[in-house]
Amino acid sequence: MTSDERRRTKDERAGLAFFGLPGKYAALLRRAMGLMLEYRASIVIWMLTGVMPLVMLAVWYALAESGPIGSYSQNDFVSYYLLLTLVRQLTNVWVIWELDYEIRHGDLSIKLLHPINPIHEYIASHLADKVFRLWILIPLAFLAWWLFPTLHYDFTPLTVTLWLVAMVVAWLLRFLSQYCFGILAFWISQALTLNEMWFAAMLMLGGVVAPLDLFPAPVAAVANYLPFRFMLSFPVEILLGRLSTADLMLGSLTMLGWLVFLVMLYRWLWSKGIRQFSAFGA
Amino acid sequence: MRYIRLLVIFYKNSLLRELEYRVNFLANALMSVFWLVWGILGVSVFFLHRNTMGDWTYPEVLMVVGLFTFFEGVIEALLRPNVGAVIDQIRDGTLDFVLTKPVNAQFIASLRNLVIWRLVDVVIGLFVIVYGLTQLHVIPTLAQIGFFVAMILSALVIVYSIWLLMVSLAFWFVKIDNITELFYAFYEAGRYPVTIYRGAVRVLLTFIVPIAFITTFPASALLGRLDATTAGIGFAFALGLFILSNRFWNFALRHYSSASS
Repeated sequence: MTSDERRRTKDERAGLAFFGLPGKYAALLRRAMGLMLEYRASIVIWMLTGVMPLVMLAVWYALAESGPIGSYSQNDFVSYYLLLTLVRQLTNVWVIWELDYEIRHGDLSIKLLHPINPIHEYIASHLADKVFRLWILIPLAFLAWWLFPTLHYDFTPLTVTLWLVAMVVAWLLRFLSQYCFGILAFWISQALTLNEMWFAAMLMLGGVVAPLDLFPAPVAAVANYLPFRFMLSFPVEILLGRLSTADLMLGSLTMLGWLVFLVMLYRWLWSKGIRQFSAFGA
Repeated sequence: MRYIRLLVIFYKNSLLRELEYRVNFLANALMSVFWLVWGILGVSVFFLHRNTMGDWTYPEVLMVVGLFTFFEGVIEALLRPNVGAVIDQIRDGTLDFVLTKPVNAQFIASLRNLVIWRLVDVVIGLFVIVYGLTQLHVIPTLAQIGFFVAMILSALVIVYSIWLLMVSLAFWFVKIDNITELFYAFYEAGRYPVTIYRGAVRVLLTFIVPIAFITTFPASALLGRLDATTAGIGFAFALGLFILSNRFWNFALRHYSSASS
């Protein structure tokens, strides 16, 4: 590490580097948007790969033909899974593939020379992807609204506000947890494998395979407090209007608890990892 | 004969390369088992609430899960590594070296590489199919086994042809190197018997993206429920797709003009 870099990280720890952050973000975002537009065909394909909730919808819909399952009728499954598809599209992350590659190939050293923590560049490119996806998803949402008149959500000022917050946090949880697995690439070669397991757990316990309350009661009780719920299922639950006010509060607090935990975990792992990285001479 | 000898050389070469990365072997064997357990748990959630899925009982659905794993192994071992290589070669222009070899280009391009450790999925997939049968206390007749093998072979041809079609597309759209991921999005639907799907979705999964011929119908064959017509359609379909994909590959090759020119 040069003395310049050392000062920079020290500044950052003191929060000084954050003064210029909005301006830097505007620049980062502009660049990321340009890149995204270049790869728009590829993004559309990535979007299509996120349709697993729709497969699960088809299955549950058929199973519910002979009567409701748990508290879900056929129409409830439609409302649940269409919203889950939207949540999944807007919270997707891929940062580990970039981070893992850049750590193993040493490309990260170039990013470390930029006068900004690399995490902001990754966040900016993810944001650009979300802006692009919204362009496609908003018309699709209206189309779905028109095609399925039975769609039913509980829109009140409280639920909508909470939903927006829960969406941002859901994305942050997915992003930060994946980022932490990515940082592990400083030490181990199988960071991607660990991340794959985490992803599989999210599909199972985050409400994709089944709404959480269709699992056996003890499993559902535990899953309610695991981070996976807050990565996908919780925003859906909020708008379905099935949660009591007490459950909403408890859920929101648990969600924020996980967020604080992951932010701290990220900071700790990053400072350790970066030292490890310099140690092998990059 | 010459082609078989070439295959042996190719795969010996791939094997030696894979042996360099033994940690990968372990990690991936672990992941194969992990995803299989994941798939079985997922199916179990449905059976918590219902006794059948599209008229298939739990052990019968397990056989479909087994076939899903089996073909995932085939794809990951044989198809994906080659598709990835061809897409890279198109982008870099090094496909020229493949085309100038005195061997059928489609043969090299689609069968050159083998990722041997993914064959673990093939083995555990077969194991799950057999396990499903023992749970049903069914011993298939020789004719049923024969039908099953024939359906597997036609499914192999179908999968191969779909992948060849996808590679050929890369000649025009180098930037969609993630097109193979699209296959997986649809393949996901193949974890469950196709009879669960309704209306247009079932037609889509049978004839447009023929997942049904890959995971459902071989299982039906083994259970003795596949009628001759469906089997016949399966064979015709495999043959038709193979010819189509071969034609399309040749057409795409004519379109290829190397990277530098």
